[in-house]
Amino acid sequence: MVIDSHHHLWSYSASEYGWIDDSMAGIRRDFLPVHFEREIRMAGVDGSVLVQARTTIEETHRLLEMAASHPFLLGVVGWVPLDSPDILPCLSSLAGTGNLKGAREVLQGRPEGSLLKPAFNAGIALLKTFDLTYDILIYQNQIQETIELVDRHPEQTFVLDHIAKPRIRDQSLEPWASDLRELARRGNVFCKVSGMVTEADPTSWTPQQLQPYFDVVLEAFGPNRLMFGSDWPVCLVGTDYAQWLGMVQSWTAPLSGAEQAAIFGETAARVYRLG
Amino acid sequence: MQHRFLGTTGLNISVLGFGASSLGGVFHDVRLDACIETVHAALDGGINFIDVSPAYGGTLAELNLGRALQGISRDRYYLATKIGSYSEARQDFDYSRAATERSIEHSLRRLGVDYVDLIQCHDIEFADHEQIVCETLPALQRLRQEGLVRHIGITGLPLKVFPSILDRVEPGLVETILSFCHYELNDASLGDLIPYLKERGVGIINASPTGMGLLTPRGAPDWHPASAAIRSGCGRAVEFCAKNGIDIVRLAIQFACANEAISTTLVSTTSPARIRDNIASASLPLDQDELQTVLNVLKPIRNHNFTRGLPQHRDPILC
Repeated sequence: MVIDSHHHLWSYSASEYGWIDDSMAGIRRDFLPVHFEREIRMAGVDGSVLVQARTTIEETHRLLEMAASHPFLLGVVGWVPLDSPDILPCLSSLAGTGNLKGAREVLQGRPEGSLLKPAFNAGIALLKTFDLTYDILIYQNQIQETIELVDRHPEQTFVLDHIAKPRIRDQSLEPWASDLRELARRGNVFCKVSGMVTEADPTSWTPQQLQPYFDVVLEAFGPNRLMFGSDWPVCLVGTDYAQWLGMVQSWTAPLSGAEQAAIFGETAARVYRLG
Repeated sequence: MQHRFLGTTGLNISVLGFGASSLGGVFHDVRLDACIETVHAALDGGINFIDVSPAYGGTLAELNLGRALQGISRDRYYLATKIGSYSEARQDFDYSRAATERSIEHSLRRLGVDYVDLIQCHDIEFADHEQIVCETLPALQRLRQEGLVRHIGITGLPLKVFPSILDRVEPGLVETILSFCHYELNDASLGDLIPYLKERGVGIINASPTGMGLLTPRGAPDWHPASAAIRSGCGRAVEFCAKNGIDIVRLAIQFACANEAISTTLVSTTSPARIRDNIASASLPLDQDELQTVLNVLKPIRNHNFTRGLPQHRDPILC
């Protein structure tokens, strides 16, 4: 089974998706299950993990409803207010639906020290009881703080989104590569190969610019802790579904069949407990 | 059942694992139906990591395990086996490429699976480490490329065999170690090596929290290599626990599982009731006071050890 470990779906409104600025005008429209299903059928992808975009409980409910009605949506990573005092009943009610596999909040750009706050960490500590993973959405300058976070919760599964968003457009590998390798030494951290075109210059990137970043990630995490993700439709600002999938396939072509199978589905299936 | 990550393999394994050596009649005679029932009880109880070797019972453990796993979905367990040690009694050790490839092919057939999650160089205190580094591990890497094995590890009794290999190979090649009789109530010397292993992201598997029978009411089997002093020292602890209503096997399991740096502790039995007991023991919180009283009884022989293997691999004896 080929699995896309990361994508979004939305009914567009300017008020709810203010982060989609003019440079991303192409994605200021609805992206519904029917659109995504067409993309993955053409690309030969069998199923996916649907990830939160809006930061509300209502978003989580809507994603869970979509997953319940579309079998190719194998799991949901929803938004939950981890540092809220009501997080326990919140998780209890959401986890019962079965399709919720993980939680994510928008940590990128948060002030230094945010990931180490007691209330947030108390919420992280609860996730395991509900068999939920935690997707980490950060910028590269937050990797050191992330290392502290994951070390506090050695039995919690963490999934790093978009390889921690290195500034590919600046074409500098350091300090991102060293920081990432250090994070990867933690066995409870997995990583999505996703969102890379978005971190390059979407209008003028080349595969040669991206490949060194993939090489670092592959060496640091190994195929059994990597998973392919499209970040569709956000990726459409600079590429399309088939082009991105083809690029990751070409980078992984030198790997063994088992290693490719891990990156293109088995890791995601295991980590997110799909099917 | 609590789970921990096995080094950087990405495998999330139960803190109690099933050691299949008993299935080969290593400790006492076995019946196939008991083997099957025990393995099923282990899996139903939340164990998802099973370790075996062609050496146990002259392939009998693998054969019995394969029968027990028939009909069980492959994604319900992680399976580890070994190469290199085929019979200690016959001094039949062979870490060559050909024997390794042959052994894995035969193990897969006996176990009835297409791949094993972990393949381990077995008891490398009996191996030439030059051969392990230059011939055995590259052979295992090739088999990993072919998809027959997913991860690579090493096992042994003397603790020094682990740095002996790990210092000589590139990081990430050897992903796990399996140690036995060095993280239990009477000997926790594996603890000294933990920082070194964690530094390298190597996953730690601990086997036999009762010291292969030393810390059980039944006592250790005749072939056990421990000295008379260690046997009687452990025997005193067994008596003390019996007199004070402490289940020493329960305590032994709790002690081993309490160390978060150790991903899993293996127990081996062919009794379904015993494996259910062991699983229950692993989830009971450790009573530090109770632990201290038993450790005090064991103090005279604490970390006293026994060793074996080629001269260059033997640990210094503490006695």
